[in-house]
Amino acid sequence: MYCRWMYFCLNIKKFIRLLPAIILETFLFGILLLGIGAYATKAIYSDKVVNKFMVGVVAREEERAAKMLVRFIGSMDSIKDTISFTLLSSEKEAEKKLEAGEICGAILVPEGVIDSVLSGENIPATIWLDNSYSEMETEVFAEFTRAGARLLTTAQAGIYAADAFCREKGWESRIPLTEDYLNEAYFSAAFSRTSLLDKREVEAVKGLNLTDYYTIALLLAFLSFGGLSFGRYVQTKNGEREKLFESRGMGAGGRYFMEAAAFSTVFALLGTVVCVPVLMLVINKSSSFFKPGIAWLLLPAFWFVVGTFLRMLLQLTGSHAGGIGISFVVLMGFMAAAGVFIPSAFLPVWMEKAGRYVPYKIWMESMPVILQGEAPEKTIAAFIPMALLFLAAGAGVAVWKKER
Amino acid sequence: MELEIRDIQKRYGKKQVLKKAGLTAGKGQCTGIIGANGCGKSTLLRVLAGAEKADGGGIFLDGRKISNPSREMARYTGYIPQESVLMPELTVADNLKLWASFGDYRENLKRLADLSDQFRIKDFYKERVKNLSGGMEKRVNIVCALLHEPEILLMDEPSAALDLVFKQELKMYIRDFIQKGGSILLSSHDEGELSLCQNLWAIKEGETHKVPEGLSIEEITSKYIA
Repeated sequence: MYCRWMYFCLNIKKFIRLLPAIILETFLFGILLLGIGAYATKAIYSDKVVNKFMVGVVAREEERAAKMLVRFIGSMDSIKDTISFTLLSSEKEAEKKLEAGEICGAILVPEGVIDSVLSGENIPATIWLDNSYSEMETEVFAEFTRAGARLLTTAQAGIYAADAFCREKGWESRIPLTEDYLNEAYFSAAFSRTSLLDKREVEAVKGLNLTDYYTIALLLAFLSFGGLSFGRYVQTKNGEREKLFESRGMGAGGRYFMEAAAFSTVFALLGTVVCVPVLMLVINKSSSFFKPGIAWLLLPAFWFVVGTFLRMLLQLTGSHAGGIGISFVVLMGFMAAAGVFIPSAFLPVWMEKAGRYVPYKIWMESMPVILQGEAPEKTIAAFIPMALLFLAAGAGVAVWKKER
Repeated sequence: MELEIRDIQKRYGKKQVLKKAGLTAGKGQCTGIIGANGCGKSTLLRVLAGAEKADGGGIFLDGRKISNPSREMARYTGYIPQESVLMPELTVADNLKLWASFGDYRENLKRLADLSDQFRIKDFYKERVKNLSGGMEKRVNIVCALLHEPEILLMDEPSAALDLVFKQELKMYIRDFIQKGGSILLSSHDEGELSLCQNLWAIKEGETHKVPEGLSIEEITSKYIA
């Protein structure tokens, strides 16, 4: 019917006219969110946790070896911003510091470690980990130690070759000096060049670095709260006007459908216009995994789906101040559970499990796929039922509210 | 078109607003409804406009019982509620287009041109509704109600918020409307408006009572309103 189409078009016009005010409000929300984001980042990646966690090194006998290990490993580009090494005098001191939480792990350098490397005996270093630290730190630290062990093993070949060369030339007296030199050269050259540790740098989601991850997370949070700012202007009640619409053939369900479609269309426009420049900025300024491609055409569809969800939420809670407040709290909960603020790997297990059932989890997973230039049918296929489900659910709520 | 209602009942939760409402509004007549605040005047008008569903009773147009009051009454009546039916974020023109889209859009637009002149709303066509004064908004609401050329006009305190000049113009319009054979059902507390009515009905305790002719305002007040 023509009145429905007119209602849809005029609602689009209404929401577009409201955009400047909405963008301003969203901007204020954004500042709030950036504050939360900065706090969360500091909490996760600051001295306390990954960024500079402290690892103790205990040398049982060969203090020279331990010092050398600390010096070389500590200067590696890939870990110098992440781990600080501290030389400890004894295992007891290491235990105490582990218990006090001052260090998150300790490397116990075995006796005769240099000799063992030279002889090919390979006495393994003992690693103590503090389980009270989050899994992510333990994993990062364990990865560092594994990588280190691999590098030391490879280093032996070079050492043996140098020994053999010195003996052949009759330079036995130069062997210790050569070994020291080779060790130093190997460590400084090989460790700093290794990509193994860089690759294992904390990944929030498979194939995404933290900048990419938080770009997506912040865009999703920023625009979702922006969508809530529309709350005051959406019609969730059945007033005199709506009753008259109904008597003229435009019922609560149909009216909701048109209004929600208009809302989501404008929201899709807002989402696309805001996120594309931000993404382009991220691509240019970091080693981003994002790749512009044809799949990016799905961005409006993505934001449309988010819009249908937000509109449904507003229909459920109401467009008055209290209702918008409830929607805000619900969104915060959903986003937290879906890992928008803090990657799921850092969340408590129960929260991570709960996050699997909220739409934000799906969006946090599908957005990177789109932004990496891929458009798998599964992702596209998921959008249509999601949008229809949210529209239908919202219409159901509208009818239910009218009947009450 | 003659409008008759019999034994209309309407309940909101536990409150029975209309118990047994019945009245007749003759063709070419203005019928007034009076009563204390909250007695059910607006509810009755809403039921007649098809905006509310009655719990019982019947509505008759020219003696024919209406089977689907919601749709049919919306077709035959133009309802001017107390509350504005306009979308505040849109312009007057947009709102008028929306109301014109219910029914024959082209025909309604043709009528809109005449009504806009008559109610002098053309000057603020491009204004957003939220920027209009109460009187201007009321005028646009009246035009919206008249766009589909209803035969019965239901007016809920129509002159509230209107200036004196427009009040006079509205009275003239009411006279003109009934002279052309239309019926008007008007709820009001305004003596001037009620003076236009040929018949008066009062609602008291959910029931309608015909007000006999010749009663003074004091008598009507003491008997039906106080």
